[in-house]
This record gives sequence, structure tokens and C-alpha cells, in this order.
Amino acid sequence: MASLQTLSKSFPGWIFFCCCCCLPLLTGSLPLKGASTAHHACRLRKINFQQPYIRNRTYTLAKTASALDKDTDNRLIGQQLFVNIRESNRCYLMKRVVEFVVKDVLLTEVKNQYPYVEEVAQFLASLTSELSSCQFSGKREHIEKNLEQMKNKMEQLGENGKTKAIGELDLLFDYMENACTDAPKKGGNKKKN
Amino acid sequence: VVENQDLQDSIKPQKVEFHSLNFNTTLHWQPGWAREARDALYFVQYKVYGQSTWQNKDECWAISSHVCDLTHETSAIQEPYYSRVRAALAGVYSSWSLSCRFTPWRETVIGPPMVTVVHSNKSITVRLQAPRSPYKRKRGSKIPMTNYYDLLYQVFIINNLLDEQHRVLVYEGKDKVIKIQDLRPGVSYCIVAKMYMLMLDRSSAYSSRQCTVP
Repeated sequence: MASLQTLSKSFPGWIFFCCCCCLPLLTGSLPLKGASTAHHACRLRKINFQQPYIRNRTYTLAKTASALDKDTDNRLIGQQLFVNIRESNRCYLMKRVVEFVVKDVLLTEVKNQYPYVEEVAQFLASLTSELSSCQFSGKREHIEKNLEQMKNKMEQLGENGKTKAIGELDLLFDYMENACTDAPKKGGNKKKN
Repeated sequence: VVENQDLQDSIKPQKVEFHSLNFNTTLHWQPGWAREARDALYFVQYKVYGQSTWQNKDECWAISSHVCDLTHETSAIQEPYYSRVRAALAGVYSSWSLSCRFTPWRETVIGPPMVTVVHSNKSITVRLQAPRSPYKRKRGSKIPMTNYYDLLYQVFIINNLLDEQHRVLVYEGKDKVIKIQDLRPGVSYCIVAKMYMLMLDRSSAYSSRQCTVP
């Protein structure tokens, strides 16, 4: 029927479009963005975030935990992480946050209390290992200070600290995506007015 | 006469939930279990997760309905929000009932596309329109949901001669106008369509069916 025709007609078209239009755009914008070449290691391919399976698992896990967290005032993953951090260092910072969450939250005794913890931990660990040669540039102090504040906040919250961190895995996922990939398709940049 | 504490508990709103379709977001709740709860008034507050102060929702302050529109308040669609409701009756206030955390971008339900069909002898031309968000461009037109997600149209054809329930996928992609060709003359066909969200592997409901008359 018409189905195969339409699909086979449009599919090469898309590839053609992507090769001709997107690649020059991407490569063309790189020299503008990355002033220093040191940060090329601080990039993740979009494909990492395009698997609905792990994205949905992460969101489900976060939802399960956040339903148990009644503290709406304190938030670990938010814009405060990026205070005084230049854009080129944000991916590095998120890498450090993810390393911390994997090691000190997900791979502790809580992993038996929630579904999908190990899968999500494995996925996050694969991201950080892909960023193994990602380093910061400039001064270290702001990065360390912001990380320290986040860790302290979690510790101050005691038992609920870990619940909160797991409940924010959806935020962690999105922040990592935004900081480490180029221009994700999201509403954020196309909000109303 | 019930004690104050009992009354407070018995009128406390239950099941406080966000419902969201194409970013049109409302808060819903159920009245407390007491029979008197029917006459209670409700008060709604909201905030972004992590803020320490709650904002009053003026349009939902001392209302008797069980729904509150928070579309405008939740327009930073990637932010996580909370809302809470309390009830009052005869000068007695219940404690607050808290919603779950709600992130519009992650949780809104995508509605089906609008479908129109024009048919000629052996083909059908299908026009598809993605659902619109409530948010407007500067010119005043509403921003379509395709601006916020990678969305594909899925178009299905139903051959009325064969089987009413049997839908065949004939197109998946981003084109807004497609042509289905090589159809049998003198046969009635129906078309339905869905939006498919790649990133979250979710689909909208089916559109209403549009049929051709032979």
C-alpha cells in the first residue's frame, strides 16, 4: 500500500536533510562556542539521552522516592549548583554530582528499597566514565564549594537526604543532559514569551 | 457537635493531584470524608520545588469547587512544582494536603492531532495539525506542542470493508500533509491519527475518525 512508499520516500530525505543541514550547522557553531579545546572531552552524545527505556526508568524511580519526601523547601539539584560556575564548567560539575550520587547514594543500602536502582546507577556510571577525561578550567574553588554545599545539605537532612537525592534523579538526568549535550530539544528555550 | 480536631481531619482535602493536557494544567482534589465537607471552602497554594515560600492562588482562594487552574503558574515547564490545598468550614481550617511533585514537561499528556481528509477517486489527502499549548507567541498565536518535543504523527487507515477494528499504520513522520494512494474506488475508508513522543515512548489518544464516503 501507500505506507511503504511514503516511508521509504521520506526516510532518505531525512538523512539527506540531516547530513546537509544539521552537520554544517553543528560544526559551524563549534568554534564559536568552545573557545578552548580542553572542553571537548566534556561532551556527551545526545544518543545517551535518547533511550526512552532508561529515561522512563529513571523518572519512575525518582517519582517513587519523591512521593516519600515531604520536604518541599530543600532541593539538591537546582540552579544554585551553577552559581559562579561558567557554562564551560557545568558539565564537569554535573559529572562530579553524578559520581557522588552513584557512589554515596545509589550504591548504598537504599538500593534494595527502590525499583530499578542498579539499572539507573549503571547508566549514570556509564555517563561519567564517558566523561573520564573531562576536566575543569580556571579556578577550582567555586566548583568545590558548590559541590560541598550540596553534599552538606544532603547530610543535614539525615535519613531523608538520600530519599531526596533519589527523588531528584529526574532532575539530575535533565541537568546532566542540558549541561553536557548541545541544544537538547526541550521546551525550556521556547517557553511562553 | 464534633470536636475541632475531628472536624479539621474530616474536611481535609484528599487525593490532591495535578492533571495536565498539552500543558493545560489543573489541580484536582476530593472533599474530606465528613458529610459536612460538602459545604467546605478551599484554599490553594503553589510553589516551585526548593522555594521556601508558598504563593497564594488568588483565583482559588475560598472556592467551593474541587478544581483549580494552574496553567499560568506552571508555565516554566521544566521546573518541578508543588501545590497544596486546605479546607475551611464554620471557621475551622484543615491542615494542608500536599500534591505530588509535578513537572509539566515530563508529565503533561499529549492530545491527539486534528485530522481532516479530502478524498479523490483513488487517494486520500490527510491534513494533520498538532495540538496547541496554551502559551502564546508574541503575535498571539498559540505555540504548537511540536515546539516542545520531538513528536511524530502516526496515521492509520481503516478499511471499512474488512474489519472495523483493524487499523493499519500508513504513515509515521513529521509531514503535516500526506497522501495515501492506490486505494480502491467505491470503498469507504476511515482515518485516525496519534501523536507519538519519541523521547518518552508515549502516544496520545487516537483522534476522532474521519471517513470518506464512496
